[in-house]
Amino acid sequence: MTLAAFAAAAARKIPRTALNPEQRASHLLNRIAYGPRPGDVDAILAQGEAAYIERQLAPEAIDDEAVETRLASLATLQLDSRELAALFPQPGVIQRLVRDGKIDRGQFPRGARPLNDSEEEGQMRRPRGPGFDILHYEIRRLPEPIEAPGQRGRFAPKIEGVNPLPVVAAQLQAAKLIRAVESERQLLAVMTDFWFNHFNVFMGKPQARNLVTAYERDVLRPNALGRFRDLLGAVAHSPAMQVYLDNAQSFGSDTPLGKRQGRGINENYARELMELHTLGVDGGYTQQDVTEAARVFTGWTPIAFGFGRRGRGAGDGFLPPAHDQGEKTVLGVTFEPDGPREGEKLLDLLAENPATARLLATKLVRRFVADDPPEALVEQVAKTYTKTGGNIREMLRTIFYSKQFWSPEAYRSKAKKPLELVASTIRAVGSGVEPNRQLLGTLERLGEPLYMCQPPTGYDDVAEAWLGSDQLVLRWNFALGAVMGRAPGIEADQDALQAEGGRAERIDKLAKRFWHEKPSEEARKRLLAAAKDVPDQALAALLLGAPEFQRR
Amino acid sequence: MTTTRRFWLKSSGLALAGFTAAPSFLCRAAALESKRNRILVALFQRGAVDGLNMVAPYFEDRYHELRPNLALARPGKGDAAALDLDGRFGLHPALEPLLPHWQDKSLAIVHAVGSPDATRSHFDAQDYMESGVPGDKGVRDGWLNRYLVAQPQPEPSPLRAVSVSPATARSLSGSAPAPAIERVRDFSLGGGRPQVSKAFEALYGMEESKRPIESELQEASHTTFEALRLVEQVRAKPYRPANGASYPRGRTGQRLEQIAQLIKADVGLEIAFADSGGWDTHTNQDIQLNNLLGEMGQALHAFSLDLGSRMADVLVLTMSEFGRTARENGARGTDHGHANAMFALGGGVQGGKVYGDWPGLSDEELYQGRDLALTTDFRDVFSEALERHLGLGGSGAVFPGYKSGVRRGFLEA
Repeated sequence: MTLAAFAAAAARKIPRTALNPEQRASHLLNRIAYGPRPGDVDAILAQGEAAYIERQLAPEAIDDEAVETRLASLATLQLDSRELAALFPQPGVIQRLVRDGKIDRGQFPRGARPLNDSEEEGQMRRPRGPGFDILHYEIRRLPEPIEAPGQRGRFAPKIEGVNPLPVVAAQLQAAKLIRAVESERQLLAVMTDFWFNHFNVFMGKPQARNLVTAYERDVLRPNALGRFRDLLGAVAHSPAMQVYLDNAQSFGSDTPLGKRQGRGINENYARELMELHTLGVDGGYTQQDVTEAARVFTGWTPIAFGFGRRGRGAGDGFLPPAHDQGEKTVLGVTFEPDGPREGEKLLDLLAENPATARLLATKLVRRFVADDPPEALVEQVAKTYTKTGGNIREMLRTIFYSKQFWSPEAYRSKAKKPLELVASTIRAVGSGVEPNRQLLGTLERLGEPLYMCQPPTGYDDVAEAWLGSDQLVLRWNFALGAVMGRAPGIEADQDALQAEGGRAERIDKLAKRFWHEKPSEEARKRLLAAAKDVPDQALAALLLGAPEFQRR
Repeated sequence: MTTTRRFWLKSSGLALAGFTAAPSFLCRAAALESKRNRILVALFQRGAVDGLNMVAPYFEDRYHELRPNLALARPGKGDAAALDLDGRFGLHPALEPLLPHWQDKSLAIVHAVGSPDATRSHFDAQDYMESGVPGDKGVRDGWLNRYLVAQPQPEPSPLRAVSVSPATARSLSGSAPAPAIERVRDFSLGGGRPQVSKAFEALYGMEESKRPIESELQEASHTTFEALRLVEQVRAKPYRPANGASYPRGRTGQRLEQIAQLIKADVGLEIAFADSGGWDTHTNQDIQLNNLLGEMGQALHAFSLDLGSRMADVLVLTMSEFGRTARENGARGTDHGHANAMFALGGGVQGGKVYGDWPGLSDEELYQGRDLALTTDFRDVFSEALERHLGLGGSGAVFPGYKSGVRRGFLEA
């Protein structure tokens, strides 16, 4: 722990509330991590809650080599977007190559069959063709590229009949699952996911597919606990966001490029920037502000980074011939023509707005405390934002040391989202994770296909979005599968699943193990009644399928 | 979750007594006998079907000029000729199974229909058609879910809306329950062993709680057990399509069969969504369309036959994100275009007619000089289905910010 962190920790006290020490430890692990593994609660009981919090707030000091080593074998994670685009071209690019006779039809994969891109583009699903199993090998290494004369040189051929197009998404999804289950930097994983939803992009949009890897790796994760303005700026400059919200298609109508292409501004990015990224829907802006902001951001396009057919080589991300040169007024502030600096000025203005502080405080408190965020804490967190110049780490500290965070009302008051449920189950049974098609498919059917949230709102963070009847059935089946050894990629520690003694005694022991508390009389009654109908080895599945375990 | 919750709070006594009292689905089924509900089936053709060859304007010389290789021949001119509908338009020959429905007037067509948004991206156009708000990417829910909210039922079945797909489709996602049930046989707990269901039901037999999360879970679990029981009831009888109906192999046929099974089991289904893919025919379109339309035609015919008299309560509506270029391309295919055609099949359909103004195919008449122009907004067709078939008072809440009032009249008023 750094000196500054020590000082901060010493200056703050964890409020005492009606929760007992085990409950407090499991609460902390359920909120700032993806749930307790065997032994985690004891570790916190030994070292103290503040030490755990401070350690998690400084992820750079946490040794996470085991996970980093594992992830290193997922080759696409390390690649630059341009390299990915060259290796995994859009079906259209392959179609042209085939049409022009530059490559042979047999060399490329089924899913990219010539001139029929609807599988990839239209259905937005990972293919389900025979042999598509990302479990064991094809996500581990990159295919040897095929030379394609006249094209950027190389692209990925099919790998033993497997379509390489979904490899980029599959590796990213696998990595998220591995981090959630196994990373020691749990809060960083939680916050990276939080910001991904806040600044959502949809990986099923074909043009965005090869951009999301770098987006999460270079834009979101490094800034996840830093200054909000840095994060906001990095997102605004990212090809992934520009493509997803069409800023790439936004041209000043009187500019040379706008005229040549017969295009004008596209307001999508400007609107979501205000509505979702900063001010919030009631944040006091008008349609006119959106239009003017869109003019400010004309020229912020990935073409200027060297992407796309019209790519101009690596640039600074700003394309002057597309930029509206007129004067603009946003939120009452005048923007004199000043190239890319107009956008920076607007981002400053938005980041400094009190409505932004409130929106971010509300969302963070909703994530860490309650679906219905306590007003007093929201205010306090917003104040921290303003006072610290948008320091995310300090906002989190305000939350983690608040009495609302530790209140009995907050305890187990949140529904686990699918990723939280899946990761916390795997952690609870003492297993690592070997990501595979079934597991990722479970997340998809539970309603949270990773990186595949279509609308810019990101995935919901309130209970009612996640408890549909199809979803509950899947949750229960998942608990059964994880315990009964029928879930590929999960190997439960058998010792963790069993307990000695009579049925009531075993139920108590398992409740302590998985819920980290003594079951209430009412809960014990339900468990005993349920236990009558399942074989002994499935008892643990009841604890993991119970309403108590759907909550965090 | 909001709509079913009220029902369960009211009748939690019944729910707790679920094993001894008559299962509530039986009560519901009895109630349905007297008041059969109307059903809307939405079938999305993903990838943009070529509407100009699905329903060909063979009467236009220009059509044959624009598509020297791909145009369907005028009716009677050879094997692959269009099947005449009204002296102007002709069905693709692979859709022959639909001809009897055209003749008995249960099949109507709306032509030159689509989204006013100019995008030619599958992704954006599907998103807009499913959210029902073209041009606005910020809309979370789908048009069919907003319908469920706009026309609440006092005691909705947990299977009031079903997405016959791996996960709930965008069109049906939102705050009202709309489970994804891809296959009836797979929707089960613990592999369908009754004692596992019994165990989980005991596990979720919580006392009433004031904590929102607890009552939320309790209500959700009640709905879930009810859904499981309903599906179990459906599954109990091996399904045999009636009237000699034979569904084609492949996704469309299988999914329509699931829907027919749910309809006939009287589980309270009102909205079903299914989709099919592969319509993005940039090359060798004739072979692909032949297969795809063949499957769709057989599937719809089988569905109609299977449902028999029950079809009077059902409306099937087909849709696709945009049409394709009026001209064929150099690879015997077509590229991304604009307006398209939709089918409406079922009871209440004023069929045997092609609806919508025909915009023509001359260069000046084509949209941007290349695609079929739009004369009917898809929201007008959807609105007509919701209002006239399902009895929604007005579709304003389903299609926010849109009001044209145009009703083509393909459904009985």
